[in-house]
Amino acid sequence: MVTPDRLAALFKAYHAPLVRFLTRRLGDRDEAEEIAQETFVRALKQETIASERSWLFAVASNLVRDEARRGARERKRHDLIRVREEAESSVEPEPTAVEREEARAMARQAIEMLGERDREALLMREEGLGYEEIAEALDLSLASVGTTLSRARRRLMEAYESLQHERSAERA
Amino acid sequence: MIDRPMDANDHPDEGLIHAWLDDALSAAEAERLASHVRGCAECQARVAEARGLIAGASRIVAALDDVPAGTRPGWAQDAIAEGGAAGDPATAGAAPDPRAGSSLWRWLRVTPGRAAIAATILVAIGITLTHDRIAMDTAPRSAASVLNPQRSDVPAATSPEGAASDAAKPRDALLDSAVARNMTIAQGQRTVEAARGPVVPAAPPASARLQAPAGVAGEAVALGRAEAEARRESAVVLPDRSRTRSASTGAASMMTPEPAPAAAPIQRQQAGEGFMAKTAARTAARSCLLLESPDADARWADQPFPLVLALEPGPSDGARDAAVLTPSGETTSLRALWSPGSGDSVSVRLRRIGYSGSIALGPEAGARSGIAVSAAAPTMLEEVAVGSSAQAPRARADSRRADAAVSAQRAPAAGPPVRQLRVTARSVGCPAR
Repeated sequence: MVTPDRLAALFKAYHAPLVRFLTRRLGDRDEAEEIAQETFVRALKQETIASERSWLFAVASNLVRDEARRGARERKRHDLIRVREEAESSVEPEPTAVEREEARAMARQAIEMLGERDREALLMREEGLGYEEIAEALDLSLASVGTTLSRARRRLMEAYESLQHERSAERA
Repeated sequence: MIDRPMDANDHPDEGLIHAWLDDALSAAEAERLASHVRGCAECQARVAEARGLIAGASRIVAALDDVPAGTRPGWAQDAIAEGGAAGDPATAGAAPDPRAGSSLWRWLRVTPGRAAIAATILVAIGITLTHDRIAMDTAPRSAASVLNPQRSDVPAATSPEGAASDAAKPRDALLDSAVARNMTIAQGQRTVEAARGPVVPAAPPASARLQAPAGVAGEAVALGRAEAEARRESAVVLPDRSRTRSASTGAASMMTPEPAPAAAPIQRQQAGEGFMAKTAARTAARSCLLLESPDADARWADQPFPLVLALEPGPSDGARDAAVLTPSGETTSLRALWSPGSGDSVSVRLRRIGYSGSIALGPEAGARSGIAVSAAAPTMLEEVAVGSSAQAPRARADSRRADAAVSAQRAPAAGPPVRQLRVTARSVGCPAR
């Protein structure tokens, strides 16, 4: 059983990257905080955790999927789209804020266009997880992690550039 | 580590190139791939493309953050992973830096996150240095250095009081010393003696205003002022002074324009321990002056001249209490306050319940000459006792308001006649007590 002291150490070491990973994954900081909290609660219930970081990210990813099944994620996405539309329709908004929001929305759209596994592998890698940890968290072979990541990166770039072209065409 | 065989003639697939750039290959595999890429232009292009994809994907992912611009989660994670590994041996090897050798340019890229952390580190260093400095200043010099940080870097040789001696001195002495040094610095003077001067320019004391005409200008002016002051004393000030004296010793100095009592606290503040030591030579011993008047039936209050003014030991340039004796050394009911003024003039204030008076003495030239005035004045108790029945309860209920009312009633009055006496004062040996 993970002791409270050990859990505190885990929280200190991995809470921030986990929340960032989840925020990127979900696009909602509050929801990310909740899922991160739930992840650590589940860690407390574990007898042993072999690879802590990969375990935490794997559980968090599973919780995200559960959350998605309950429809919360879709609701948040709709909220995000609504916020974006409001930002776009607002009267004389601050240019830099709009640009930032646009970039964030396009990144969100692009990341959502990835396959589930590619997306999670990429986000985990961006959080610094090693290939072994990603393989363990996503139940992949070690040799396929590079392939998964290269595919995710290429598709993400293609999706993002496509969105940029669309946005440019709309403005033109 | 990924370690899969690669034929020297085969081109690595994209996944292997990404694994290489992510530093996920074994050393042998990485070397084999590197040697191939060095001789393969096609693979060099693919490696360059892979680098672009890695960097571009990182930027897009970073755009998802609340603070999107340039956020480097991997870099931030490095520090977190190091912290976790340091605290727990079990995770020491669990968080290798997967990007350590991928790209120096990416490593050096300045991001807002890095800038924020750098700023935090700078602030922390600044706070640490400040605390250290305060600790260094406080430890040896105690309160004096805290109160006077400007002097903390002054060598001990230039300081009149050494740090070691400060530490052994009483707290209030340290405080006085520190204040004195501060005043010295504030006045742009490096010597302790310079701190003796008043910090705030003070208005010329009444004694100076009284004395200067007597010694310099026409005697009529001095006489007029002395008489006016005596009348003011007897009619208005004395009741208040009597009351305030009974309430608080020394409060009379606040009611009258005498400079010395009011200046005394400032002087005490300025006077550090070293200052006191250095000015010990200026402390005057008990000295006596013989006051004589050529006028007939000359009296100061109820005591006939000649009188001996026995100055108690005190600062030669400050206020000193004085007993009023007969020439034979017998004590009288009078006391006085000797207050040096400007231009070597002196004001002697009578202290006698029921009387008000003063002596203005000019500069000493063998002997001092001046004017003495005195007049009977009712005390506060007398005021209350002889007041009307309507005034007495009010005075008892609110003495301050009653005094103000009485003063207001008396102010327009001319007051009792004041006799101006010519006096001379010359130093004499003090009669035996």
